[in-house]
Amino acid sequence: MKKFFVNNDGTGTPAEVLIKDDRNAVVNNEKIEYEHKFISDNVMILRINNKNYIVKAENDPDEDIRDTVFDIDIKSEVTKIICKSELDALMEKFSKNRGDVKIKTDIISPMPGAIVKINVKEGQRVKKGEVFLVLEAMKMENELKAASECVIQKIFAEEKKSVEKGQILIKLEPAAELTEIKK
Amino acid sequence: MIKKILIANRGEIAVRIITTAKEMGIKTVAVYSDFDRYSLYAKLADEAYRIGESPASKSYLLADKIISVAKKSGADAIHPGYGFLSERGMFAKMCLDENIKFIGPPHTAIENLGSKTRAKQLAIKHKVPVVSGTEKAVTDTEEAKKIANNIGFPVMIKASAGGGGKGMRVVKSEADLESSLRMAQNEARSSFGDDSVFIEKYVDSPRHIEFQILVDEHGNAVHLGERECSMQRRHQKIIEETPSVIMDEALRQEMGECAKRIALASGYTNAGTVEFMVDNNKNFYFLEVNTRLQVEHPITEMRTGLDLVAEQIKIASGEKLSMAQEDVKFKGASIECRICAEDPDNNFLPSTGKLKYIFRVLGNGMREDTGIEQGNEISIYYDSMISKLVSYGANREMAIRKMKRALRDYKVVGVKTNINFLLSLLENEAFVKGDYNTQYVERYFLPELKEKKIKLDSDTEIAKSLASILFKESKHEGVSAKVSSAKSGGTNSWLKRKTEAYR
Repeated sequence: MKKFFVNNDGTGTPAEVLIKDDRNAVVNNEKIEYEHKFISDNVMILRINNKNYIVKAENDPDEDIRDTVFDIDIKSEVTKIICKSELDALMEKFSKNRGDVKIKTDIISPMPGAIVKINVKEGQRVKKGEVFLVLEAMKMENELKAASECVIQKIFAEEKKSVEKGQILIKLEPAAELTEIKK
Repeated sequence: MIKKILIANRGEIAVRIITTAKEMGIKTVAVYSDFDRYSLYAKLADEAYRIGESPASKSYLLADKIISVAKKSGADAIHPGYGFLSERGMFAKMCLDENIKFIGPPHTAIENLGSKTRAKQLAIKHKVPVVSGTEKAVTDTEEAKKIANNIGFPVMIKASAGGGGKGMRVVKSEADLESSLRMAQNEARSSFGDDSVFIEKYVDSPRHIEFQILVDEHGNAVHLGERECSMQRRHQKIIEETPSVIMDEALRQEMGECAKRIALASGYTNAGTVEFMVDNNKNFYFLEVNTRLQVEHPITEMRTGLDLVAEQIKIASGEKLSMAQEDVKFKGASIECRICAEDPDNNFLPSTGKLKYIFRVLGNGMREDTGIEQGNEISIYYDSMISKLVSYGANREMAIRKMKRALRDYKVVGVKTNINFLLSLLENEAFVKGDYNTQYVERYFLPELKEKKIKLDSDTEIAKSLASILFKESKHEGVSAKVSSAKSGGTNSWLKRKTEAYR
C-alpha cells in the first residue's frame, strides 16, 4: 500500500491515490481495478475498469531526481502533472524550510549547429520570450528564447561559430529576486 | 526501357522510388553516406554504394561521385528524388553527357524555369497570369493612377530602394492613392534618399495551390489536378490536401491548362509542379515551377489512382503518355500530414535523438511513406521528417476523420514530434471549413494555440493520475532496485517492471 498526491501543474486540490497492489487502487475514495504493461520505456497500455488508454510520458531532461513532474500524453493531449508520494511531500517540506531553490542559469545548446546571430549583450536585462540567439541546425534557423526575465552574465557563444550539443552558450545571473518569489 | 536505376537520394523518397522500380522489374542502386549505411532504403535496394561522409555536402551533393557509382554499377538512369541535386541543371547535364538518363526534365528546362524573372517572362509570353506591376519606377501621381487602375486595386506601393517594410503601402482604392503615394515617397526619401517607387498588384493572404503535370518527350502533357498547400509555417508546408475546397471544375481546367502551357513552352518533360498564388476572388497568379517530384505527390496519386514514379520512369524511357487529359479521373479526397521531429512548444526546434519506439496502426484508407525504422536516429545532417501520413476517403470529411484517428494512434518515443500540433490544426474550425491561407498558421493559429486549456473527462483524469504514478514508480524501480540489491540482495518493490515487450 502506497499513497500519492497527484494534481495538474500543482494547481487545485491534489487527488489522493492509494495503490493497493498491481490490480487495485483507490482514487479519491473510489475503488478502481486496473492493469498495465509498459510497451516501451515511456509508453504504457493502461486499462482502468476495462477502459483502454495508451499513455506516453514525454522525456524531460530537466527532470528532478524524485520524478515528480511529468508531461503526460493521453488521448493525444499533453498535460503537465505533479505526482508526489507521501515521502516526496515530506522531503519537500524539509527542503523548503532550508530554502534551496535552484534556478537554471545556463543556456545550453539543444543540438549541434552553428550560431547565426546573437541578439543580447553581457549585462543586458532580457524579458521573457526575447530571443537570445539564433542557432542554425538541420537546415532551419532556430531561435533560443528567454523562459523568464533574466540578466545576461556571460556569453560564451560566438557568431558564425559551430557549437556542440550541451555546450554552454550563455550564462545568466542567478536571479536573486526571482528566487525570493519562489520561496 | 530503363533497366537499372540509381537513386541519388535517401530516406522516404528513396524507399518510394525503389519500391516502384522493383514493381516494374527494374534493378535499383542506392547510394549512402556513413550515417545511412544501414538505413531502410539502403537495405531495400538491390545494391548499395558508399559515397561519403554524413554531411550532405560530402555525400548526396557530390555529383561526380554519384555519376561514377552509376557507371560502375551499370545503372542506365538516375532518379534524383527531391532536394539535393534534383533541381540542379548542371547535374542533369552531367547525366546527359555520360549517357545516363536523368529521370526528370532536360537541363535546359531546369535552367529556363530556375530563374524567376525568366520564368515570369515566359509566363507573360504564354498568357499565364502573373502578379502584374510596373517595370520602371514611378514618381508622377497621374501616371501612378493610370498604372494602378490598369493593374486593378488593391495595389502595393514599394520603394524601389526599399526593404524592411519601409516605404511600403497597400492601397485599396483610387481615393487613397494620392496620399499613400506621397507617404510612401516621403518614407522612401528619408530612409533611402530616393523617392522613386514601384506599383504592383497586392495579393492579400493568398492561398498556395499547385498543379501536378506530366509531360512526355513527344509533346503531350496532362495535368493531374491541384494540391492545396496553404497550411504552412515559415514557408514550410505542414498539411497538404486535394481537392482544394475553393476549386471548381472551370477553375481547375483553366489553371491546369496554364500549367501545361508554361511547361511545354519551357521545353519541360517528365513530372513537374506548377505553383500559383490564389486570392480571395479566385484570381490566380503564376509563382514558379518545381522541376521535380514533390514531397506531397502521394495525395495526387491517391486521388488519381496513378503511380507518379512509374509515370516518371515510363516517360524517361521514351514512352508516350498512356492517358489523355479526359482520361484523368479524380475520385475522393486525400490529405497528407508531415510528421516531423520538432518541438512545437519550443518554437518548432528540431528534435534529434534515437527513435526508441514507434506505435502506429494505419488502418483503412491510410498510407504511410517513411524511410525510418524504430531504433533509427534523427540526426542533424538531414531534415527532420519522420513520416508522411496520407489519408484517402470518399470525401474530405472522411479523409480528415481517418487522418485524425491515425494521428491519435501514432506514438513516438525518443524525440519530440508535431503530432499533437497536427491534430489541433485538423480540429481547428478554419481547417474544417477549408477557410485558410498561407498566413493562417502564423498569424492566427499559433497565437491562439498558446492560450488553449485542455480539459479531460474524469475517467481520463484518473487514468492520467494513475499513469503518472506508474511511470514514477517504474523509474524509481531502476534506482531503488540497485540500491537495495547492493544492500540486502533483494527488492521489496510492489511493482514489477515489464520490459520484455521491446528493446
